[in-house]
Amino acid sequence: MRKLLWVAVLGLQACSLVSTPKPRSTAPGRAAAADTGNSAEGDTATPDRMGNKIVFELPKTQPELELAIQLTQAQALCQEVDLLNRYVRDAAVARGGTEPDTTGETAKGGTGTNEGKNTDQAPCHESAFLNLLRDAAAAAAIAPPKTPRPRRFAPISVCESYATWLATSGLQGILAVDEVAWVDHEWEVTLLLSTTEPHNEVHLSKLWNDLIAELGPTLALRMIYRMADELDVTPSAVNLRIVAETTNPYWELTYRLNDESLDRLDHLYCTTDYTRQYRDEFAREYEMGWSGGGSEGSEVAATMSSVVTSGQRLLAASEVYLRDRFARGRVQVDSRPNILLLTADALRDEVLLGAHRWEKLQLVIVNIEGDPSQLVVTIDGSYAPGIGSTPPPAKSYTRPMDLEHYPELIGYLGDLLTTLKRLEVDK
Amino acid sequence: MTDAELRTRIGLFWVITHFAIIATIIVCFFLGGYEFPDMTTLLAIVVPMFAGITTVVIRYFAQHRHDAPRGKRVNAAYVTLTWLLPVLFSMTIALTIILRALNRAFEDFDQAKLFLTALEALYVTYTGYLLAPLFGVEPDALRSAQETKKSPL
Repeated sequence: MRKLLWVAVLGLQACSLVSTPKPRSTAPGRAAAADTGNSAEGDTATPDRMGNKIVFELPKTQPELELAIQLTQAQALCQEVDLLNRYVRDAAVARGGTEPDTTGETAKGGTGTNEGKNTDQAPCHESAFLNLLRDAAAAAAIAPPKTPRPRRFAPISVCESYATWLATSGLQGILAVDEVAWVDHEWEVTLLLSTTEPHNEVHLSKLWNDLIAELGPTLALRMIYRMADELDVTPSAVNLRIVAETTNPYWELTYRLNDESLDRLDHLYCTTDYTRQYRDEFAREYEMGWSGGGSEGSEVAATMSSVVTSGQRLLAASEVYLRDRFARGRVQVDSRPNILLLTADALRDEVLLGAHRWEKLQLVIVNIEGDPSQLVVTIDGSYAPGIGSTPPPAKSYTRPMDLEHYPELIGYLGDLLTTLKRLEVDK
Repeated sequence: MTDAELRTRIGLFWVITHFAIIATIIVCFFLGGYEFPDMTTLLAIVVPMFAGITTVVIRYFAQHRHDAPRGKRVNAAYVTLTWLLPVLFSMTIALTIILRALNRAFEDFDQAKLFLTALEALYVTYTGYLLAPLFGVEPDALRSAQETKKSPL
């Protein structure tokens, strides 16, 4: 039985370097390819910013080729530097003073569109909020920095060719190539899933499943094989990563080709950047003329501080909450210092609403060692039929939810994450 | 009791039970006691159990639709056995299906499936020996009819 692991990351830290999906950007190597002339447009003339015609030429000699390769590598390096700079900028935003734009917005209590509108509001809000940011930044500083994985990007021609193939495969406007990078001894193809309709992670994951239903269950396999052809490598060396960036939580899907099967790993991230969330909420309330007094602002700051500094407390609070939530079923909890293993069965209408099936949920909540501000939540659901009030034996839960009830399970996990992350806030 | 009366009663009982059990499976499915694959598996097991004898019974009644046989008296032991085994057989099958749907018996569906298969081997042979003389066929004819239905290959 194919068993899928549903992974959700509940980030609690203001500036934690959770591996968020990259925003849609120019594919790596594009500029370098243009610089070196190693482009699909090769010999065509393209106007530059000044309107002058620039003629691209393919490298004809060995030194030229080596130079082109060096430039490509330099471009990749530049991108890494940009990425690091972005992290540094985010950290600066969290510290609440070094990033001029964002800090300026928050200090003025607006998002930029209503700057200066509420400058006469009580300063205690600002100080409370700045304390909040400062606490978050201090907690962030405790977490060990994550070293970026070394990566090498595929030529731009590969990305363009693949994008063309996607367009002809009925995926135009739905999937866009974000990057194709050589990471940890394998090629990682990152595609951005998007739609023009208003969406969240459930809609996008359902969209993907609908696509698979429409274009065939071998769609992912075909995509992997196509990229393997483009890169001239074996298909097992290609991982397909489909990212659907939504507000919160967001969804990501990874396909890996094994010897026997195509593994699918669903991730549902809840990147709760608390600082940013509270900053936005605070700014919004401030902007709307909210006048709850200084105590409200202080309360938010205090709660924020406790959330950021104690993943353990949230783990304990999660256990209490989940025991209560699953009280009508049978709950088994194995609680360890950093891990909470919870199995609940004899549940009805918990995930599959209205289906009247007996459900079994297995939740694993891990407080990552060395990063106390992050919790990882995994869920595995199965169900069994049955009439009446007698729950089935444990062995009867043989039908996994992730096959036919994917949207329900991912939606449930999203709701659960939202509830869990608010536990301490509500306390 | 004469063999003609016994034949009529046991024949009707068998045919009605056959369709009642099929209906039970379908009702349990609609109430949520079984998933669709489970229901089809159950039907595939249960229908051939009855089908061999049901076919013979229906064929006999169809062929002798104008007859009004008086029949010969049969002894009490034969009557008792002729009723006891089919009733036990059909009750066990029905209870297996219902209790499994209510989660009151068997750890999982596979256990129920194996139990029904074993039940068939136990009952059908004896039932065949008892009912075959009533309907003018050889016991092997009943069993072979079931085996044919069970293994279409």
